Amino acid sequence: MTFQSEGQRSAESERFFADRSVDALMGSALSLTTELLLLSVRQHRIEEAVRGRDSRPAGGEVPLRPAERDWVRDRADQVVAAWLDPFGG
Amino acid sequence: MSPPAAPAPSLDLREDVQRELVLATRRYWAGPLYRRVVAGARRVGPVSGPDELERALARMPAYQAFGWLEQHLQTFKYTGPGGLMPAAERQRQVIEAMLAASEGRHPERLVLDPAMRLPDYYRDTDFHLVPGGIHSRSWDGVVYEWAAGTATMMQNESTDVHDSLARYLATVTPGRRILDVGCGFGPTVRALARALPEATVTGCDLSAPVLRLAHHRALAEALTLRFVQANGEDLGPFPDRSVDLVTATMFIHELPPPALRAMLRAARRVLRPGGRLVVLDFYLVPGGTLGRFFHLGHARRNGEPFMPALLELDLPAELRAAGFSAPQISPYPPGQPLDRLPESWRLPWTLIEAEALGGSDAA
Ligand SMILES: C[S@@+](CC[C@H](N)C(=O)[O-])C[C@H]1O[C@@H](n2cnc3c(N)ncnc32)[C@H](O)[C@@H]1O
Repeated sequence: MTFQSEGQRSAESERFFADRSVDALMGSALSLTTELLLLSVRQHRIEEAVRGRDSRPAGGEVPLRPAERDWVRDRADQVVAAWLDPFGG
Repeated sequence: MSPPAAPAPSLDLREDVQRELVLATRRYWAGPLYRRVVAGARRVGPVSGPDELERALARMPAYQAFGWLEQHLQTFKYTGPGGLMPAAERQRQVIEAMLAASEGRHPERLVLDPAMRLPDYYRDTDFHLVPGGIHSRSWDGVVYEWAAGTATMMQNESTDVHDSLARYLATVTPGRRILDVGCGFGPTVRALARALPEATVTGCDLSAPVLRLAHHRALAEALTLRFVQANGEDLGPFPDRSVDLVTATMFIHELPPPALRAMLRAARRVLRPGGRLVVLDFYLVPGGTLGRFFHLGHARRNGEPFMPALLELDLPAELRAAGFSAPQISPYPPGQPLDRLPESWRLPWTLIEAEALGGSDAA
């Protein structure tokens, strides 16, 4: 992962997270979970359009609307729990 | 008639979804994942201090995930594919136009100092892991504001720290002239102006882009606030004894001890005798060794190099040495227990208060 940026970052944080397999696993899971949530939102929009609840062109990339926020939040909690339950659940 | 509002920057679908994912991850991290680490730490048995606990837990999967997320979720949030920095940079023209439009209105309420010399500790530290800090690019204030809710978990806490503090301050302020040091994009000063409509409230900060956004936000809320670019270590633009109340929220943990001492002396100088200093920061850490283990880990993983040194300071003694009396230090909100860990991860909010001594007693 290259999220670590320059600056006055102490060598200590490296010491703590030196475990490369954890780094690779968590980094890819974070990226994939984000993509999964984005796909879910797009799919939800298509479903809503098919059911006639949304007049927007299906799959639109328009920004999130306030009415969608709660749905996205719940879905985000679900995908995150599915990812992290093996560690924390 | 006020002029039409300038277009504001916003997040596109990917950026907004990424932000929701970051928030959801923080919720999980601060709840179930944190509790799993706590349970693991309790099984370790007696330890000599946070370092030993760190070594004992280093291979525990839940702690590895916890630590990794605490650090990398921040950088992902800023510079990941849907990160806040590219989002703001993409809209730099919108942001610049928005800030310039507000600067044109009431320019007397925003005093910037293009010759301001940033202290080395400030320029060289990426606080909260924001690449390049929050003081150089015109859009830095917007990124900071977008990020604020996910950084401290305030968005996940039910109370709004700034409003609750302002309500408290409205009951204790010894006068109407208020100066907020390290005001950022202005959440505390706006809350103060709402809670104390009669007060004259000024915010100061080192960062010009952040102050420009604070000015814009104040105008958008029709609040009369003044913002001045100044170093909290000397509060140069502010005359002696010109203020009744000095506040600082989430500010002093970003100062190395010599700068903190200078800031306390400067606050004492600008306060009138009998004036008050009220600081909200992170100092009384609940939960003994385990609490310190989490807080020191947070400092290390979140670009807070001076947070640990603050814990080591004898703040009542420092306040007295700077010319204050009657120091009071208490968990915030009042009544938070100190003898046990919170159920969910939270920063150790602490209220630090003192009174400026009379002229002849002052240090
Ligand atoms: C964590 S932020 C808190 C901002 C605000 N008080 C709040 O509660 O949201 C710390 C702020 O202090 C400012 N700062 C850091 N060192 C400073 C100094 N020596 N003088 C003035 N401002 C400083 C930073 O630019 C930043 O805006």
